[in-house]
Order: sequence, then structure tokens, then C-alpha cells
Amino acid sequence: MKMPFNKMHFPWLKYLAVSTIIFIATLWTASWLAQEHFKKTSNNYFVSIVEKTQSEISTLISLHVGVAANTLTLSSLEDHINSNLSLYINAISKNRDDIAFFALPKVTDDRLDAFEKKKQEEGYLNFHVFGSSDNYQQNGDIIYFPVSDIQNNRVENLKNLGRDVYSYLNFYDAINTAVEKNTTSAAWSHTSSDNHHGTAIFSPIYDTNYIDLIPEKERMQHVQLIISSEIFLERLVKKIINELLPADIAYRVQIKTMRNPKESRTTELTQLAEKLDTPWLPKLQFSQELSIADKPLNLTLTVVPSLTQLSLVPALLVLLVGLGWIWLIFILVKQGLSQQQAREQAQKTLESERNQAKRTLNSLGEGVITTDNAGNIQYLNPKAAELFSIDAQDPPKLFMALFPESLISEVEKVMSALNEAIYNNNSAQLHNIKMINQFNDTILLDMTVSPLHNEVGHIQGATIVLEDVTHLEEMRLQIEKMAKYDHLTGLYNRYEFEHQLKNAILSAHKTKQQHAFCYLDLDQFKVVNDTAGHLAGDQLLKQLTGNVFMLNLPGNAVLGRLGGDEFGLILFNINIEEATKFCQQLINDIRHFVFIWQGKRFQVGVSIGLVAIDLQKLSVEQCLIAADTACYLAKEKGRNRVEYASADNSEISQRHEELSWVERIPRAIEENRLKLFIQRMLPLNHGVRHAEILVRMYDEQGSLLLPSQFIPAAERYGIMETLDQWVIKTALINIEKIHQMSAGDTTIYSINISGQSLANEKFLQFIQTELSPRKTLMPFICFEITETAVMSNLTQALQCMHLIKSMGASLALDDFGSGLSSFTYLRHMPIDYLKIDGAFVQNMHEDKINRAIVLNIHQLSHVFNVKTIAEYVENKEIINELRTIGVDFAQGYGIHKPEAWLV
Amino acid sequence: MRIQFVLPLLSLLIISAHDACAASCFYINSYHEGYEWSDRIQAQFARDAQDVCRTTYHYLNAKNDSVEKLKNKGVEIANLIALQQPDIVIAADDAASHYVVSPFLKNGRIPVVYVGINWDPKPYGYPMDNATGMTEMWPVEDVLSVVQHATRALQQIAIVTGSGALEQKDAEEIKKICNRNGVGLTAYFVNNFEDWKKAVINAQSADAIYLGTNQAIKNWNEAEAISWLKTHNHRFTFASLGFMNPYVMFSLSKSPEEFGHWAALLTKAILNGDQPWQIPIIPNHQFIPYYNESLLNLTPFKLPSTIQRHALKYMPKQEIAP
Repeated sequence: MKMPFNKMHFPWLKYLAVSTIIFIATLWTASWLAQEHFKKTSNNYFVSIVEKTQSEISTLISLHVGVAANTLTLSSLEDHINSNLSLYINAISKNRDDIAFFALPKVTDDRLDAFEKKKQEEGYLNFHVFGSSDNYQQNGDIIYFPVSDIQNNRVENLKNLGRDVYSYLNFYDAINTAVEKNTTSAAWSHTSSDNHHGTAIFSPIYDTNYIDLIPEKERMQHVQLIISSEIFLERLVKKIINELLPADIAYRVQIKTMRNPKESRTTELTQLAEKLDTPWLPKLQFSQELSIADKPLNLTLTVVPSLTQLSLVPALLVLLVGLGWIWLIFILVKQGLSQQQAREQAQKTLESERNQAKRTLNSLGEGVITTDNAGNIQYLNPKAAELFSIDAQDPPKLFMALFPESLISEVEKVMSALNEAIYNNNSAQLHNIKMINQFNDTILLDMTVSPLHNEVGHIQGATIVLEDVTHLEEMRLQIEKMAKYDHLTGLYNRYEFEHQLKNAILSAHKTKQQHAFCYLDLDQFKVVNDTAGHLAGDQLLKQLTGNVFMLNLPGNAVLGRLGGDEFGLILFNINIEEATKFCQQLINDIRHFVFIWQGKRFQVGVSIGLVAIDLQKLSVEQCLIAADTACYLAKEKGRNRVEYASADNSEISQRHEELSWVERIPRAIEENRLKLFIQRMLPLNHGVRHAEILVRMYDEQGSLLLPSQFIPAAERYGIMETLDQWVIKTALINIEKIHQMSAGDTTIYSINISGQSLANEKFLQFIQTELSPRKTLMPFICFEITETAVMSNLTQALQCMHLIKSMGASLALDDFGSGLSSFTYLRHMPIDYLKIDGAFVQNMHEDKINRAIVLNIHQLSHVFNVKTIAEYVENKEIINELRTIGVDFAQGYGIHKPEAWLV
Repeated sequence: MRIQFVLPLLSLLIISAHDACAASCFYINSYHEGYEWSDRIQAQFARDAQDVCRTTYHYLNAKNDSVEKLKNKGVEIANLIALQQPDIVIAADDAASHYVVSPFLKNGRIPVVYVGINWDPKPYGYPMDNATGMTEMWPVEDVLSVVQHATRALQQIAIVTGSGALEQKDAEEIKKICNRNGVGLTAYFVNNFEDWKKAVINAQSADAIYLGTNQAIKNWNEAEAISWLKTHNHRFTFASLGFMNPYVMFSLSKSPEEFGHWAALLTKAILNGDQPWQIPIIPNHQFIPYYNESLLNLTPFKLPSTIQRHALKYMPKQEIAP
């Protein structure tokens, strides 16, 4: 929606003011409408009240006149008999309390007593004439006009019975006027003591029908009776108001009469006075002069509207329309503001984006240049100016002018890309475009040339994004170098050397030529590192590389650093003898190489494993392993020598086989090919039953392997710990099962722990983790530790042994006698059993020395309160000997051959 | 306590509490229930005073009971008033003032409103400090004018009425006025219907016959009385009581409702604080002229034209009911 406010500014205050004005105007109008209606209605009410009052007064006066006329026309003889007067008066005044009719007969002073007596006889038992003390009848006979009959009897009117009306000045004048003028006259009936507000009306009745012929001053002589009526104004007005005004309107009516110019009387009639006294409520006042028989009367009406009297519908309509306008204005303003805000926001956003784009372009690491279709530069950012060494504020006109003529080939590439973008709408990427910078250095640029479209999609030029890739290119080359070369020595690294080795193997196959691969491992290099530091070691390697290797190697040889002090060397087109010879020479050269560091002289050697690269289908890995193994052998054989890894070299094969256990044992565990066996012992002195848990392995083909086939390899290559952990875990589970199945089993099961495990701190944690939750089993567990294992790392072994003891298990020292066999140590070990090495046992029944050893061991053990177990017990004779000695347990094939431990 | 006992007691408590809020009026009817005159006074009072006070009604049966009995009854009622201490006593007709107000309540603490005392209340001790009321008058002289006009030559009037004390008082008052106006009067007080007929025959000697109340006349037969009068009476008959309209040619009937209404107005004013002595005693004002066309047409008598024009035509009951 297009609003006229679009081009205007909308301060809220302005529209708040407009809305407020409209709101106030609406309120005022609504209020005015509501009140106006009430004003009109109230005015109508008042007019009605006035009219009705006047009308009622007229009616009452007519009634009075009618009564007087009837009285006049009836003979005195008939007036009581005739129903009209009495009934008529009663009929017309029935239910009217606003008028009373009185008969005022004229009584002369001389007839006053007779008159009173007559009235008493008529039933007015206590009738007496009374009047005011005013005495203004000075001339002639005194006459009275007492109230002698009240036609519409009301108790309150009876108080006037006998009242001489003529004795009151205001009535006196009115009666005289009525009599003398033969008319109806009125007087305010109230006196200062009266509490009502009324009008007395008088009409004379004469004794002649020709009163008009009689002079006015003489007419009093002819008057017989005054018919008087009293109109009670308050009652009349109140009745009319109650009849005409709604009950919920608060009003105050003031009836003001003037008894004389100096004496007025005001009577108030009110309804809901509390509203009238509420200052903030609107009040309307109306006033009107009335008359009763020429007597002025002022009627004032004050009203307060009630809600029901207010014209709420048009007021509400106006209010609604007003609010509608305010709402409309609010909507328009809001919409205008929203649009303006949106526009401003859009402009700000655009500006911001523009600035941001500009800042981005300015801060970009890439140069950006835009051209028109003719190749004229339209824009270039500071980076572009920097790249081309020009002033960004004053660039050359043509883009191509940025390139020096010397780089014609580059110019052609760029020109071609530019044309492709502008004329063919294709983007092009150019890499490593050469450029000469301000320092005359050649830099390399990557360029992306793209067509530049205007709003309608037409090409209006080209955008060239330039990136200085000089440094990136350098880095790429560096990384490439780092990927291939050892940063310390500058030789090929292991990765690249393996690549070269692979090429050599391929080359040998392809060209059917023989090459040689040498695995070089420096000797004594560790000494340099440990004594002079790694910097010295590094320096030694660098010097060795530069001064020994590089100087003595043939031109086509490939040398690489494979590890810390390990090198690989490929010699091309060479047989083994020549290669061996070359290696011997190299060994000599190295042995003669003296490295001086901080005044100290160091000499190193080298052991070389040699592998022929020929038609054998060896892989790189196989070559490496073979050379490594040969190098290991060379080291074992005394170092500074070369060992050739030929197919018939049995040492190499064994070495290979041992190495294979490194991966076979873990695989056997994974494949569940390790099994526990048990060998029970014989308690020779009625002791508790003992059994040793042993481990066996099934090979890949299912054949059972003896421990001697894999334990040495496991010990050599550091996988005994893995093996021990499996054995301990599995044995504990089995023992747990046995105890669950048979609670009466008291066998003590011995489990072996290797020296490697014992030396490892982590093994302590393993022992604690495994044993802690099985404390009830501990009395039935015994760990066997070989004497040599304990002695090789006594401190760590003692720590482990104490831990095991603290957990509640028992300990046995295995193979006692095979090693150092020091009883001095024995006394410090927390062992429970001592297993006497089988070498002393197996022929003790024949060899007295062995028997004596066994005896001594046993006796000493008992001194330390350690029980003894004899191994390798193979026959009854031995058993008998052992019993004779007192050895506690016997173990061996003669007792029980190991069998699979089936749980 | 059982609920059956609690509820009635609670109701009584509520009722008595309600009653305690309203003033109590003690209404003494001089006659018995069923006497039309006093019934109509009482009924009007009951209507007009229903919001003014709680009224108990008591009867003297003055038309039937002996003087002695009435005196005893008066004592009983006076005792009851002393016991109940009502806020006001309304004495309707003479006997109530005669047997209760005058001997027991005069100038006492309890205000008294009387209505319907015939002619003169002074014999009962009125005016009193604690009493006011409306005396029952009848404009005899004015009626005589009408009778004079109808009969043309009025010298003698006969009264045929019941034999009660009130009827005798009426007769005396009328006689006094007649005599004052040069008209003779003979009164016949009868006890039964036959005597009444005889009295009417005897009254033919007069120029006009005033038929007083028939309420105390035994064996009264309305239909027979009407038909008998049509054949045996040749004189102008008139009455002052509306219920005698079937038997007379003209009546200027007093209105019992006027007395009942006034008694209620006075009761209200006094209960609202006006002192009885401040309120003048006044006579009744409302008189309703009736003429009985069926009887008049049998005679040569003519009512004055103004009376004829304004008086109400008596409608026999059978003519009223379709």
C-alpha cells in the first residue's frame, strides 16, 4: 500500500499530539452528545413539569371554581342532600392529597357563640373558632370566616377546623379582594410557623344573584360563605415529578414563593441528594416562573443525569469513530514508520554492506580488479595495487598495461582469459602467472578472471581476482622436500627411502639387474647421546652423513635415514660380494671417523645387514625385516661387521621365527588358542592339596605347542606381561567357578608370574584390580615367581610380593637353586613356599650331593618357616627320599602329568 | 431436642418477633358478625389499616344480647385490653363506647378512636383526652325537605323500627328535629315481622313512614316484606340505612365505609404521634341518595328533580344478577 506518508518524516510526538487532540475531541464530542441529549430530555422534562404543574394548578383552581359554582347554584336546602357536592368533592379529590376544600361561613361577632353551638350539634363536638392575634378589623362589626367544614377529610386538615382564616393578614386581603371583586383570589397559605408550602384560594358565595350591582365596599355584607381550597404545592410538584421524572435521576426542585417582597419561602424536594452534592458530576439547572391565581411562583429544577439518561449510543458511536480514527492513524503511522525504518534499515544495510564489501576488498589478501569491456580498469583494491606496485588512486587506464613487456607470454595468457570472460562469458583460472614487483623480484600470481554482469545480466566487463602465491609455492616446495628428506641429515627419510627401495626392487625385476640393500645401525651412538646430549648426537649424524657417507658412496647410491641411528643404503648394479666389500669399507671409514664435541672425542661403529635385491620376489617390508634381522645378527656377533641375509642362513631363520611370536601370541589370545593346564602336587606330609596352573598354546593348525616353544620368544620380545595377565585372569575365573560349584575345594592353585611382569609398575595395579574383588579366593591362590626374575629386579619384585601378601594370597619362589640361591635374600622375601629346582631333585635318589642340597634347602626353608616343594619328581624312589627329608610337597610327572584344566 | 419441636418454636419466635414490630389495634365491634352495617365498617377499617397495625376484632352483639350480658361482655373485653395493652382501641358504634370505652378507658393511657356513635357522643363521656372520632349524624332536616316535596303536605311522620335502645335513641333524635320543624312523629318499635306489618298498617295514618333497621326484627322475610309493602303501603317511605333500600322509596344512606376509613386514618395519625385530643371530632359527611323506582312508580309521589337527577337508582338484587 502506497501511503502519503512515504515521503514524510514521522516523529512520534507529532502523531501522539494529533491522536491526543482527536481523542480529547472525541471524548468531548461524545460527552457533549451524551449530555446534549440529556439536556434536551431534561429540558423537556422540566417543560413537562412546569406545564403539568401549571396545568394541575389550573385544574385545581377549576375544581375550586366548580365547587364554588355548585355551591352557588344549589339551594341551601338541598346542598347536603344533593349528592353532587359532597360526592363530587370526594370524587374529584379522591386520592388527591394536594388539595383540600373548606367552607368558610361568614360569622358575625354577635352570632359566634350560636354558630359554635350549632356546629357542635352537627357533630363537631369540640368546635371552637380560633384565629391569629392580628387585629386589623377596626371599622364596623367584627366578622369571622372560620373553617367550618372540610369536605375531603384528612386528619391533618382537621387542624384548621374552626380556624378564622379572616384573622390572618394574607388571607384577609385575599378574602377582601375576592369578596369585593367577586372573583377568585389566592394567598400563600403558609405562615411562619407552618411547615407546608401551599396556596389558599377563595371564592365568595353571596346571598344575592345580583352582587355585581352592589358596590364593592358593600359586598361584604352580602357574602354568606367563602369556598376555600388549599393547594399543597410540595405534594403537587412532588407527585408530578415522580410521575414525569425517571426514578434514577437525581434532582432538586426548589419552590420559591414570595409572601411579600421582603419575605420569601423556598422549599426543596430532593432525590439522590448525594449525587447532587458530588462536585464532578455534570448538573443541569432549569428555572421557570409560574403563577397561582396571579401569585408568582418560581420553580427551579436541578438534575444530575444517570447513565441510562445519557445518550450513550451516539456518544459511543462517536467514541468508536474517534478511536477508529486514532487506530487508523496509528496504523498509518506505524506502517509509515515501519516502511521508513525498513528503508533506512535497508539503506544502512546496503551502506554497511557496501562499506563492508569495500573494507573486505581492501582487507582482502587477494587483489581485485574490475575492468570494462574494453579492458579499462574500473576499480582495483589496495592489494592489487600492491601486487602491481602502482598507486591505487592513480592506476593506469588499461589493465594489460600493468604487465611489463618482458613478460609477453604471461600477457598473452591474461589477455586470452580476459577475452574469454568478456566475450564468451567464461571464467578462467590462471596459475603461477609471473610478475615483477617493485623490488624487481619475480612473484607468482594466481588469477581468476570472471565476466562481470550488470543488473540485467549483461556483461559489462571482467573481474580479476589476484592471489600472490609466491610464498605458497615456496611452501609447497618446502613441504615436498620435507616429505621426502630427513631434516637433520638432508637424506631421504624413511618414507621416501622405502619408495626408492620399491623402485629399486622393481628396477631389479625389470632390468634383471642385482642391487643391494644395506641396513646400517650405528654402534655406540647411544653413548654419545647419553653423555654429550642429543645436540651432539644430531651433530654427529650430520657430520657422519656429510663427511663419511656422502663422500664414499657411489654416485647412483641412495641413502636414507630410517630411524634415530639407522640408515638405509641402496647400491645399484652390484653383487653381494661387491656390496659386502663396500660395506666393510664403509665400516672401516666410520670406525675411523672421530667426532669431537666440546673437546671430547667420540667414535662410533656400524653394524650392517645386507640383503640382495634381485629376482626374488621380496617386498619392501620383507627386505627391511631381512636386513634388520641381519643387522641384529651382526650386532649380536660383535658389531662393526656386515651380515648377509641369505636364504640358507639358519640364524636368520630362527631369528625370523622368534620374531613371528611377537604377533602370534597376541593373535593366539585373540583366537582363544591359549589353554590352561593343571599339574597337581602330592602333599607328602598330609598338607593341603596343591596344583600348578600351566599355559599351553595351540598353533594355527591345532597342534599343541610346549611352553619352551613360545615362552622364550615372549620373554625376549616383551610380551610375557600380556601372557601373564591372560593366565592370571583366566585362572582366577576358573578358580571362582570351582568354588561356586564345589564349596569344599581347598586346593591351593599356583599361578606363575614372569620376571617382566614383576618389573613393570603397571602390573601391580593389575594385580590389585584383579585380586581386590576376589578376597574370599585369596587363601586358595599362590603366585609363583622364579628366583632369577626376583633377583633381576629385587626392589620391584619385593613391592609386588608384599602387595600379593597383603591381598591374602600366598607366594612361592620357583626354581630355587638354579640361580643365585642366596638364603640371605630368602629371609627378606615374604614367601610361603619354596620350590626346589628340579635339577637337584630328578636324580637325588642316586646323587648324594643333590640329595644333600635338597636336604639343606628344605631344612633352611623350615627355619624361615617356608614350606618346600620338590619339582621333577618322576618316581617313587624320589618320593620316598623326599618324605625321608621331610619335603612338604612333590610335583612332577611321577605324581601327575599336566592335563587340560577343564572347569 | 427434636427438630419437630424446634421448627414450630422457631416459627413462633419469628412470628412473635414480627408481631412485636407492628402496632396492635384492638377493634370493638358493637354488633355481631353478619350485621351488614358493622361488617362494612369493620371491613373498610381492615382494608385501610392493614399496613398500620395488627388488629384483633372483638364483638358485643348489641342487637341481640341483653344489657346485663353486654355489660359483662364489656368487662371481659376491658380485661382483655388491660391484659394485652394494645396501642390503640377502635370502638365502632355506640355499644362499644357504652360498655367498654366509657366505663374503662376514659382518659386512660390507651388512645381510643370511636366511630358511628349516633347523634351525640357526650352521653359516653366524650370528648375525652385520649379519644377522638367521627359521630354518626343524619341530616334529618334536609331529608324532611325532600319528604315535604314528595308528600306536598307533611305534618306527621311515623317511625317503624326495631325495639333496641339505639332505635329508640334514633327515634328520639328524629322526633326532636321533626318537632322543631313542626312535624309530628309517632314511633312503632317492633320485635317480629308480623308486628312490623301491623305497625306499618297503623302508620298509614301518617304522611310518611321512616323505616328504621330491620336487623333485630325476628322472622323477617325480605321478599314478603317487599311484596307486602307494595300492596299494603300507600305512604311515602324513606330510610337512612342502605340495606333498607329494598323497602323504601327514598333513602339518604349513611356510608359505613366512611366510618371504617376514618377510623383507619385516625388510627394511623395517632400511631404516628398525633395526640387524640388535638384531632377534632367531626360528623360523617357522606350520604348517598337512592330511590326505589319499583315502589315509587306505584305511588303518586315525586322526588325533587335535582334529587331525581343525582340520586342513585336502587337496583334489586335479582335485577343486578343477570
